[in-house]
Amino acid sequence: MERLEELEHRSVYIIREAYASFRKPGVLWSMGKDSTVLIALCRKAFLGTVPFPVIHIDTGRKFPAMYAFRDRWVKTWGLRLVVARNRTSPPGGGDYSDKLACCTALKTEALKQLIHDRGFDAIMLAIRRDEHGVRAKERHFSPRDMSFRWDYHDQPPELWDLFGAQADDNAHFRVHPLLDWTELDVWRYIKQEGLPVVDLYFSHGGRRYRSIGCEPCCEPIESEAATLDDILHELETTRIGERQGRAQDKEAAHAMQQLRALGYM
Amino acid sequence: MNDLRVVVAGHVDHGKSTLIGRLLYETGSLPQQVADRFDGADGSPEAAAFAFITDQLSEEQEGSFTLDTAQAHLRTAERVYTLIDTPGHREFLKNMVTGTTRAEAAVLVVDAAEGPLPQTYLHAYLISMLGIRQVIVVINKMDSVSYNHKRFAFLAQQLSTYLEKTGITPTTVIPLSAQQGDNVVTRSDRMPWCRTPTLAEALDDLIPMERDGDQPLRFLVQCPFPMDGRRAILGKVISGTLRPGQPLVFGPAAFETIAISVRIGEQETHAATAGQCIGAFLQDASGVERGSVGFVGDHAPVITDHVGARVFWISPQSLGVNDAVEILCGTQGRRGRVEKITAVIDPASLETMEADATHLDDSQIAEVSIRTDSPLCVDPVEIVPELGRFALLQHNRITGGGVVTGRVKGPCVAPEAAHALHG
Repeated sequence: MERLEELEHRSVYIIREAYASFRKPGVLWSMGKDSTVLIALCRKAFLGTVPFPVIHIDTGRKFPAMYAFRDRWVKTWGLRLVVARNRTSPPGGGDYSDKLACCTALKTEALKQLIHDRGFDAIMLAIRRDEHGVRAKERHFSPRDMSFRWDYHDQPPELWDLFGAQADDNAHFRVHPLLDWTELDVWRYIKQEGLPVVDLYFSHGGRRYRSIGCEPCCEPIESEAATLDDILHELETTRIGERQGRAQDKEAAHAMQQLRALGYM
Repeated sequence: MNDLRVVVAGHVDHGKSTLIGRLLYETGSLPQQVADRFDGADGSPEAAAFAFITDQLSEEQEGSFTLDTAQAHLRTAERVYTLIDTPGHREFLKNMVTGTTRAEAAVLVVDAAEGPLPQTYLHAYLISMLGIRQVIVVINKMDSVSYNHKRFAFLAQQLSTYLEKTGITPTTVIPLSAQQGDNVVTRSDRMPWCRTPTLAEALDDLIPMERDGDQPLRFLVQCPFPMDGRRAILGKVISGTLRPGQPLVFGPAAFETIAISVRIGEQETHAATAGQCIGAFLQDASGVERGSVGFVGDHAPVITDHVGARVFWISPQSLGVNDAVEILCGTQGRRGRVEKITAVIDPASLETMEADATHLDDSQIAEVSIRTDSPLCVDPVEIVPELGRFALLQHNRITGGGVVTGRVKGPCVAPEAAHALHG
């Protein structure tokens, strides 16, 4: 089996295990390339449908193109969309200078409220090991306690494709079907499957976004890659890290670890 | 060419993470801004912090040890590798096993001055037990023994002899220094006596594992799913080929039906092969549920409520005879009891430490027999790996795992499959 096919089927297997093992699963969709691949894999797992809610954590600060993309494909794919916003803090958080506090308030807190309100016990999300050294430590099924904490000191074992994850009254699980994928795998799969992506990923005037999130915290990279093939060629030759343009990763040493221990994606 | 997943194992402080860092650095596999941090003033890299590339947690960096398994991608001219770093501390064995069950090949790291220590043997034993057959042994920190040929030859002999007894012939044994960069990617001139390939070359000589297409059909059911007013059966073909029109039997209940159509996503397929997750529409899906195993009548798995197995235990609470455990094999979950701990095995001597033991402690390996409250489908691990291995759970958490060893008793619908297990 070729690498992409193997990754695809293993991810589908994990998505179905989450569906079969939990009462109320949901999947996070940020409209970025990775979670768009995750939605496509969910559709593949369930023969063309997504039988659980698709959650958008809306910080109110995403690129306009991302909202347009969301609304278009929700309709085409017949997704059950749930939009989650932090009720307690004003849109934008008021202060972008403290990235850690802003991400925690607008993303982690919004997710926390949603899980509490709707009783989700498993949340699938499209993180990959190669994005960040701390994400490289993750499990496919990763428990979070009531206060959302990730206990990376004592993660449960996973053996082969046996995850043993079960719904528990006190917690929820993060499920990571794309953990084994690389950035290049994601783009190759997008090409192979003809999946749509937000236009921000393609070069306009010599610059493109390699990773997208909130508008104030994303910087485009210098790039002439205007097509999928250009992007694949660029990634096959570049040695620049993917999240170079993401502000929250660069705050301080171990910022990602702190964010994630508090329940960040 | 296909990629390859390689676990790096060995005793604590023998240099696993540093070796991975050196490999990533010298092959140019690191992002530029990460690689730049290691560039020393004199042009040679600052090797002391190589371990931090995979040891990313603050606790790991402050304590200079690996707490949990991590993965990194290594690119050579030949292929892309997923390198799986593992902790060498005994108390983190569960994390080591988690990483190792994903690997197709292994690098066993041994300190040239210290030689093999308890976790060297335990890791090597687990590698063998988990079915990994390609193992590269590296004798690390050769700089600490003045690149002494005799010391290397002694350790190479000692480790090869040991590994042979576990059923592994090492692909090669390489003298190197991860810290100094000898023989990792660049051939060293400090060991003119050395005839082995570098570690990077030895990795490129490994062969990716391929699934054998000729095995009997096993269709592992994940869940029924309502689709267009019908009951689709979602699952994975773990062995053999499933075709529309094929008469099927679903174990353990021996429910007989016919596959009408088979889909991958929205596409109909005329042949689903091993590794593919499918949706099957059956003539009658009423007797099929999560944990059912589909097969063709004359090539049945063993259906039994009594398995003999070799298990590893990875929980601080020991496992006693008669203790309740849940056994998870594929998607089959069963409640069961440990009937007998026949022998606790010493991984260093490979001899029985204790026969007919009362309990099994954290990080121990033993031959056991387990009785389940209802029958399940099993196969020899070398024929259908997914049905020849299992996890043990207590309180909804994996606390152990193992492989079916062949001493299987109990009701059996297929004499020829039982013969394969007994033989």
